Amino acid sequence: MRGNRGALVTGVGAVTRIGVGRRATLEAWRGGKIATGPIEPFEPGELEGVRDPRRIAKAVRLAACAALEAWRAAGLETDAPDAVDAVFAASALGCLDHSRDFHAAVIRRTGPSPMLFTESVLNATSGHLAIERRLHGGAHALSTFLYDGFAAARLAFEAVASGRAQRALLVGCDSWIAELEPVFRNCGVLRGGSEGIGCLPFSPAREGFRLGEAAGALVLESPQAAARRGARPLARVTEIVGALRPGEPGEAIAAVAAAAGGFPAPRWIFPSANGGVCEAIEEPLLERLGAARTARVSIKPAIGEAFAGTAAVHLAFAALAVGGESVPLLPGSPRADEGEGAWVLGADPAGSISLARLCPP
Amino acid sequence: MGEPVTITGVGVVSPFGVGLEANRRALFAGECAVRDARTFDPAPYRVKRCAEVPGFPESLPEGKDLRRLDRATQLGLVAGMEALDRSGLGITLGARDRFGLCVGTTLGGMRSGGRFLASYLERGAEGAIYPPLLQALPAHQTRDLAGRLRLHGPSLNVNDACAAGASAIGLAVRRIRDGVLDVALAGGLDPMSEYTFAGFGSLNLLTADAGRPFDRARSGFHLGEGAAFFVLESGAHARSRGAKSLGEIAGYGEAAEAHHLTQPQPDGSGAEAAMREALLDAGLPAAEVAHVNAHGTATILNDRSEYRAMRRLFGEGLARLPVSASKGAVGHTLGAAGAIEAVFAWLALEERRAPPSAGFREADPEFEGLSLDGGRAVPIDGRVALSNSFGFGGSCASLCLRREEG
Repeated sequence: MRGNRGALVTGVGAVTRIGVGRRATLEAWRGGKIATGPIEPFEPGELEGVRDPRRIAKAVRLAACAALEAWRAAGLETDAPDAVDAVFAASALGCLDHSRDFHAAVIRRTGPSPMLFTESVLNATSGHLAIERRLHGGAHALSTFLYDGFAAARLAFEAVASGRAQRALLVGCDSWIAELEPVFRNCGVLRGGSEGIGCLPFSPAREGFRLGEAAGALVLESPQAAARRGARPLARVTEIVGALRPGEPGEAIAAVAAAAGGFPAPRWIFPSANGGVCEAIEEPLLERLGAARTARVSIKPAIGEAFAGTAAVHLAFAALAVGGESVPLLPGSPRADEGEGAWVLGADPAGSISLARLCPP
Repeated sequence: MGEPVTITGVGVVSPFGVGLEANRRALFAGECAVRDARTFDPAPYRVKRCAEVPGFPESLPEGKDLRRLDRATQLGLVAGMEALDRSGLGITLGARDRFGLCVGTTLGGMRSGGRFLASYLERGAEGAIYPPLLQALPAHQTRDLAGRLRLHGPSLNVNDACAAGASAIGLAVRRIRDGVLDVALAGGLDPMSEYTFAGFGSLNLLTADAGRPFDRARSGFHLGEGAAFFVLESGAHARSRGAKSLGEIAGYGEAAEAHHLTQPQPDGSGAEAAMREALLDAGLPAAEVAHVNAHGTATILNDRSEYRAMRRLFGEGLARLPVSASKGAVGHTLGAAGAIEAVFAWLALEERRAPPSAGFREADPEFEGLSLDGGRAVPIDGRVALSNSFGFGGSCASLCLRREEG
């Protein structure tokens, strides 16, 4: 990227089934809690400023909650308009719960609700965030690949690192959709057994993943903007590289390995591996990058796979780890006592791979 | 001000037909492509008409499993192939690492999603047909298009509602300027779907009359479908391969209205901000604009909001500025609209005339000084056009296009 100035992470938020908020999630994760599937009930008082939250799709509610937490963590005023220049919201599934219900009413000829239709649009998250936080800059909705949920992160990073935006909000969210369970089961990638057993990324005994739901949010800021207001950054995103080779993951691995070949070894790697489909891409990639013995961190055993949601949660916790928080390592992982910063990976069998590099600010 | 990005290829599939020349002819002839719905049964609905691409997918080439793809992908593939073909880049080159794809869509594969859901409701979880559910995910179209067209640079699937096509083009322009990409295939696509037909119908936004943008008798729009793509290149890249410039995307502006999920900001401030930013990005004053392709949905609120924005931006100059609105002719093509209508604006500059606005008969008296013509093309005096796209969520996008000199 031309004129890359990097982007500071000045605030993060996370909503998962093991905790509403980054602190609650982190403590539950450290404590070994495992809870996949839908977050129920989800009526947190944290949804301050969201009008009539029950009408909006679950993914949007999760995103609004995570975004507000990131906002506050960054020290931004919640009632000040245009505190960020741009919003980028990513999801793999969109508001599939609302669109499913609307579509079912169309098929059954039962008089579909206009509210369900309007709240099912794919930019409901970015639209609601702009409305509730009074943001008049660009507000974009992006669809991501299932296991590579980096589209919003890339655009937010490019906006800040290029100097086009002083401050950007990025959000990743996906909700749990019942109808997807048999789809993934038919594909042989969902694990069965007790709900108290999470996925086992990279383990020879891995048997697939569980579905969950989550949202993560980060405030990215230029060094100048952060310095002007005395913000305390957690980490600096230095690069996000990626490749797309539909149906040819081997070529995508080679392309990302070439793009990230000059990166110094990190202290932590947050892979997208979920005990199912991503390991076959990430193992050879990490091998090629000389990072096969780096400490590995994943929240997916604890909360399940939530696509763009877990991608953003991993970015948020990578920033916290770089900023000094301890994060649980995957069982069998090497210790995190060498290297600098963190890499966060996204890897989809469609041949889409992303790698974000975070360093101390 | 940003560096202009060169247009080297254009492709379009709309209710006017498949290909640039079919669209050029029908657009300037003032044709209306609204017909009785054909791809689904409109019997349960008050409005029975929409604008579908004629002879599609029957006109798809045989082979390569094209018939199995979701209609959204089919539309995008045909428009994308035309744009690539016109650019001289071809469609059979090897992997292109810095050649990215930026796709705008509101629906993605919702038609496939409907097939899955119908089977699920009828047969339950055990008997449902699951493959279409994955095709319903919007990123699926991007993967299919990138794979079949061998575009291996960073891709985007943009879902900014009815501004998605314009946003995808604008974000591609930025990525080229930032050096992330050398070349982008950027545009939008959306298929006709009973889902959106029922949705917009439930909001009473569809008209049983003709679509009449900015008309005193306007009462809504018809739904349309289609796809359009531009091949965009940095000037250096286009020159290095000796590509012919077909013009420029000189500027891109965006804004969020932050007002309401579905209703426009009454004063048009979001639309105005997007147009002003596009001109600022292009380094051009409003007086340089020779043509505006309006979003013009023919709803009471949207047209009023857009008029107020144009009035403030152009002032008295609005009366001398030919404005066109094509939704009366091809319907509202949703995520494709920002791309299809940018192609129409590009055609207007190339033809040096603003296309007629089908359906328009008599201006709303509220729209003083607005210059539309429902029946004939109007000469354009200049090289710069704005193309507006606005959508649910308060998404506003405006593209500034510029014709080559001469």
